Amino acid sequence: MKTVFSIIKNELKQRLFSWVTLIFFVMLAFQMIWYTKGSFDFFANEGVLMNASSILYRNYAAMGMLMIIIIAIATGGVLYKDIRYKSAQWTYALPINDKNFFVGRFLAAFLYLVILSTGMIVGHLLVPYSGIGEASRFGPTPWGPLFHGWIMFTIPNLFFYVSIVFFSIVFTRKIATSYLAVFLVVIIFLIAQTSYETGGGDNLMAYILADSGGYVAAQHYTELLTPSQKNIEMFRLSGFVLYNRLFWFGLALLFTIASYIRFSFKYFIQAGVDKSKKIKEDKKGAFTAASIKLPKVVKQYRVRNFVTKLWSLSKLEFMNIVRPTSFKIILGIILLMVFMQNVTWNAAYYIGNEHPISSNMTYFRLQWGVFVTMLIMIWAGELFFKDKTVNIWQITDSLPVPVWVTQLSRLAAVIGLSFILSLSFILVSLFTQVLLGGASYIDLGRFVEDLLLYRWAFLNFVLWASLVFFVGALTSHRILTHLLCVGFFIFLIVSFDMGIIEDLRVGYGFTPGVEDYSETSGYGIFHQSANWFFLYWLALAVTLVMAGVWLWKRGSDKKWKNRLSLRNMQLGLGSKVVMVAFFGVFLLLMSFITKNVYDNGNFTPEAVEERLDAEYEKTYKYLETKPQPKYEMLDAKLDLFPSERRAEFSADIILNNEKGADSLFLNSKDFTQLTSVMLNGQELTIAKEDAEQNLTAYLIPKAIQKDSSLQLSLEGTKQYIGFVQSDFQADLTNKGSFGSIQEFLPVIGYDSDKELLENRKRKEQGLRRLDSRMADIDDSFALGQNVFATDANWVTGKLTVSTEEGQIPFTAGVLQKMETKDGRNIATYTVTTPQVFNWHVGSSDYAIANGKADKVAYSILYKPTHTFNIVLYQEAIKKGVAFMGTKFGANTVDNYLQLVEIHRWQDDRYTFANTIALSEKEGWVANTEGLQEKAYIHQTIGSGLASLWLQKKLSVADVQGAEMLIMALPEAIGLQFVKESLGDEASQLLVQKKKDKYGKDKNNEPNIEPPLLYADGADYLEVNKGAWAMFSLMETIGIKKFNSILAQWGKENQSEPKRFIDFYLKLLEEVPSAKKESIKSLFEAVD
Amino acid sequence: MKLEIQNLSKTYSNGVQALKNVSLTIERGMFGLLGQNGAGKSTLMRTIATLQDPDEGSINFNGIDVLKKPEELRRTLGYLPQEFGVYPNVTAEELLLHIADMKGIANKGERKETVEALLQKVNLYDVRNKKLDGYSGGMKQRFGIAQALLGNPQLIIVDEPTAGLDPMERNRFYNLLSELGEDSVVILSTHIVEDVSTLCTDMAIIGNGEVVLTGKPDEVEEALRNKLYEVPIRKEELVEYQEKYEVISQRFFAGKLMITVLADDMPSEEFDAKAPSLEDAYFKILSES
Repeated sequence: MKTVFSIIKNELKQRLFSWVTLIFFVMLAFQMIWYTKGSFDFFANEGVLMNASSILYRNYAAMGMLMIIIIAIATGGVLYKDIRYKSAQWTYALPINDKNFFVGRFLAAFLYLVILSTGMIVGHLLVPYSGIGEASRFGPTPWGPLFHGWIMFTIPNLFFYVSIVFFSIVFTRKIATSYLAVFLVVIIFLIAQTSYETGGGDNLMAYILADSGGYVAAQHYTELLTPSQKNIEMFRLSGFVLYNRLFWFGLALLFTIASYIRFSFKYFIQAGVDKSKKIKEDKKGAFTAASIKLPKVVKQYRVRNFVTKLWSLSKLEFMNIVRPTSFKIILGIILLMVFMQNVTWNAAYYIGNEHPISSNMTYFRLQWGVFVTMLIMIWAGELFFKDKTVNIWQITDSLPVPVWVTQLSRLAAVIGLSFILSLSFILVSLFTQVLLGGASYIDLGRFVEDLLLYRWAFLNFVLWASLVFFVGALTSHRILTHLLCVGFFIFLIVSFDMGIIEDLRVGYGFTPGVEDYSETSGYGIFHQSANWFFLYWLALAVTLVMAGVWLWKRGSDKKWKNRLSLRNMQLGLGSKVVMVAFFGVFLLLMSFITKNVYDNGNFTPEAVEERLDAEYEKTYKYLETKPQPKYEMLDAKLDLFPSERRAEFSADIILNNEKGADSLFLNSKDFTQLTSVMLNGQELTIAKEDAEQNLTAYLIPKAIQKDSSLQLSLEGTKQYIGFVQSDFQADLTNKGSFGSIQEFLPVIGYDSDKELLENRKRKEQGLRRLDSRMADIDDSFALGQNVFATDANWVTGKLTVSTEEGQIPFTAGVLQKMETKDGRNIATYTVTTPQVFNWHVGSSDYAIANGKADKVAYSILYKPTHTFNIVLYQEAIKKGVAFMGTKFGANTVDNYLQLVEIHRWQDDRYTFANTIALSEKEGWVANTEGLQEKAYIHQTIGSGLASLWLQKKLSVADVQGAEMLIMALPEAIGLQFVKESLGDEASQLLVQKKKDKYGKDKNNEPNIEPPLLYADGADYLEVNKGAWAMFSLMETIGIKKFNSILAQWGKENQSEPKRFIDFYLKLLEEVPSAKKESIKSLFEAVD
Repeated sequence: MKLEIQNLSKTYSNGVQALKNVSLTIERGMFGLLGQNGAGKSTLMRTIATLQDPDEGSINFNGIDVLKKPEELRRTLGYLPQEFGVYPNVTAEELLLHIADMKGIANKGERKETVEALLQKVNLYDVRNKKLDGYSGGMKQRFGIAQALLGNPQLIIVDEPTAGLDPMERNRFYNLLSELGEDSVVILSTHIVEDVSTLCTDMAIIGNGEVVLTGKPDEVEEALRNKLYEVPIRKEELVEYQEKYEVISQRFFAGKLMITVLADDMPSEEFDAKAPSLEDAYFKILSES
């Protein structure tokens, strides 16, 4: 024991009292402040404090990349230093027991990290004083969780890392394997975490167990906590957290015991000595040096020779990378994991499995791209410093070959390596697609675009390798290069992820829209954006590479003055000019991107957007109650030019002016311009123009102010200019345009959609706190407003939409005519029965499936390759129409229905005048062999039809509870439909999904969750809890009775906006008294 | 064929002045640069080999301004550094072919021929296809000299080539090095006096970054003729002798301490006259400095 203590004391003394330790400690403290800011932003709820215990637990579990780097560089050396510094020969000969030595070194490494990790505690304590949040954001210091989280997560994590580092070193006798082991553990964690976030709960246990740090378990745990629990709760060591801790602690213990048993001085001193490789030489052989003359040689130093050398060297360096068995093993592991991910992981949104289409097969790159980039950066760094690492640099640097030949050949080898990796990804993905039965829908172009270009793929790797080259030239230090490059890369990833940085112009190597592929629209405008951003980074990368050649330190102790001198001919004069030219191109592209993205208004930082919205509310809130005319009848013509992202429109609108408005406030969307505004045939005088808010106010001539209806004639255009960095601009995108009609036509009066609804943001912008996101149930003004549109009640109309050749236009209403004129496809729709004004318009290269469901003619507009579930949709429509007819005696859709596939960039579902528009991720490519998926398809159609019917039957007041009528009720009817068509099991599967989703999402409620009775439009609430509560109510009072009450209630004062509470009270009367309390608690209370 | 070094100075960032105004003229043949560890030899070698920038001074080789046009010197340079490694996973032949290519031997056949000849010359031909990480220290040194000789360089720098070699390897090395100076300027940097006395026609001694002596080894030896005397003494008597005489070196011989004294005349009868060696001259300079 004495030996052990002595070793620990000695090691800690050496390590603790050094500048490096102090720097690490301070950095860890700083990292925790930074992480706290990021974690806090994840919790939207205004009640969550910045020093909430949940934030502490998550930070302790994540530990941060810095802690991982410290572990990687500081731990292995504790055991290996005697080998590295060749002191093992005498150290191991000291009178020490080898096992005691091992234990001493192990505990020393562990304790050093534990002591260092107290920097995380200090960081948490400093958060309130760091200036990242106002004093009101902090509660009392949570002393319990502050230490409990550290003990529960950080300390066991450090134990695990030390065990795996020692295990890999002991068993391989190489320190490099410990770096690899740590790297692999981190990769697995990151995959588990991102899969958990994107993939959902089906493989929850797998994700939780795959994460050695317990972060996924902590994340899951906190997601189930209420805001107040998030602030104060000490984690219980149970459930997933317990499983995770036990699993990894057990593994750590196994590694430690195995290493302890294996370690001995005799065994370990062999590290780095491979006697099997030693070559025996016949020393007795005659020495013949003097007798051999060297042949004469011709030496050539022309550029042509160097170019040839560059090629041959590149090949040589490339072969040197790919030839070793270790490379083949690493490649094999990566490919196997990619394969496993493509087989097991699926882009499951609300539904289950999807067909193995090519875009699903390339999705893995979003997670893997990060790790492969890091791997390639490290590989590149190692290769660039190869000569220094093996200490041959004095020979190679004094050879008569220019730096550009030797170093560029290495860059070329890394590029070759990246290409091989990317190509392997394509092959393994193709193989997976074929294996899963997707051979017939292979889209090679998708693989090439996603895996060989610059969406976390081959060309991104090239950009990052170029940066490594430059940083290597600057630092001339291998480890520093690794740290700077990987650190910068992670910094960017995390900063963008957390929203700390938004501007892509500073995100080296990043291109917009990498995650935003749509089967219907491709990458849309992101295609153009990505091209320009890539060129922008490429110009910088070329500059960096050339600067790297110029500054590369050949030899040692080279003066900066000489390296930076123009006379330094490592880069020739002509090449220096080219380098400057490339930098000029980079600046030009920066200016071009700035103009197109930022100056043209295609990107507004979140903070600016919030400020503008707040200013709008502050300035124009009074308009909410000011009399304004409303849409009543619309005759509009809309010409779409999706490939040009342009639309031209004209409209004659009959406005209801019963309240005698004296002014007309028109809010236009960005990029929309009204070129002509006439009221009753007269030009209007502009009373106010607010360009920042796109709002123009016109005076209504006194003579017509009292007219009960006015005719507004508008002409205008919408033209997106430039390109984007983060906004889809989906209403005008080639093949897949879809947007509200009010993307073109103005919103009249106060546009409440612009209001900030999150109290935290409202507070930041100096707005009053909202008790509810919707008006009170007794708000007399809001009771007169329709929830779908504040500037319209019931609207009829005629809409003529035209689009480009090869595309089919659609909009709200019943299709009257489809014709082709002058190479344009023109559709005419009418809305003869008054409808709520939530109309949309779209255009894409659709295929059409027509059919009839009883009297209802239906058209399904879908992407031509998405034929997977058309028959099922048809079946569901037929059953759904019959269901609605039987239950409600209703012709839901005026004998015409269109079901449209839209891109994934907007909401999942839209229902408006005879139309159900479903996102492509909502079942079009689903594998519907299973009951759950089949049920989901039925439910989307059933609830869509119910929604259309309710929109026609009910005018819903814009007060609390409205979404229970327009969202929850149709969803519940959809569940009813599923139960009837597919059985109880099917509906229960969907109910369970809704319960799970509600349970998970409710804790991200930014304000305060209201009871369903006062539901105020929270995404997670009405559609999930609301739907199953309504369904439960249906079942309680009997479906038949429920439906008849609904039908009856709908007919009462049909034109008056209705409140959910009135419907609820009617239903409650029918609930048996034994169940009344449970129903009441479901609707009137919050869990 | 001449290498001229003028007023070369170098101070490292930690304040160590490695070279102080060093000036040397080195003609064709084997030139020995003798000095203790840390005397500045390797700094000088690396500076000549274009791997390091001096603070001041100039280096000229056959009309090439080495500091301004390092790339021109590299075309005619063969350099064996004091310590060097090799790529572990390549064979001697592969690496030599690679270096030959880098040295500008563009013709594949010529490369092959010259590499084979060199492998024969350094006696590594039989193991040419073995990976370099299996080579012993001596084999690696011979590989080092082979790479330095590639491309028939006119300026060859070998820095401490025999350090760490056993006597047999060292002997082999002398054989190798002995013929290098015939057609080129060869600088042999070493702290082992025997290396210089065995191989070099000209030499300089460097100490604390300064050139303290230049000349031919035999001339340097000759300057001490009839001035050296030695006597075996007991260890305890050393201080007494040092106070009385100018003791330039001491060594053990058959259990007794043998001291060498510098004097114009025989100090006393107990002394024997000693034939001077380069080592004596070296020790004399060290004792003076």
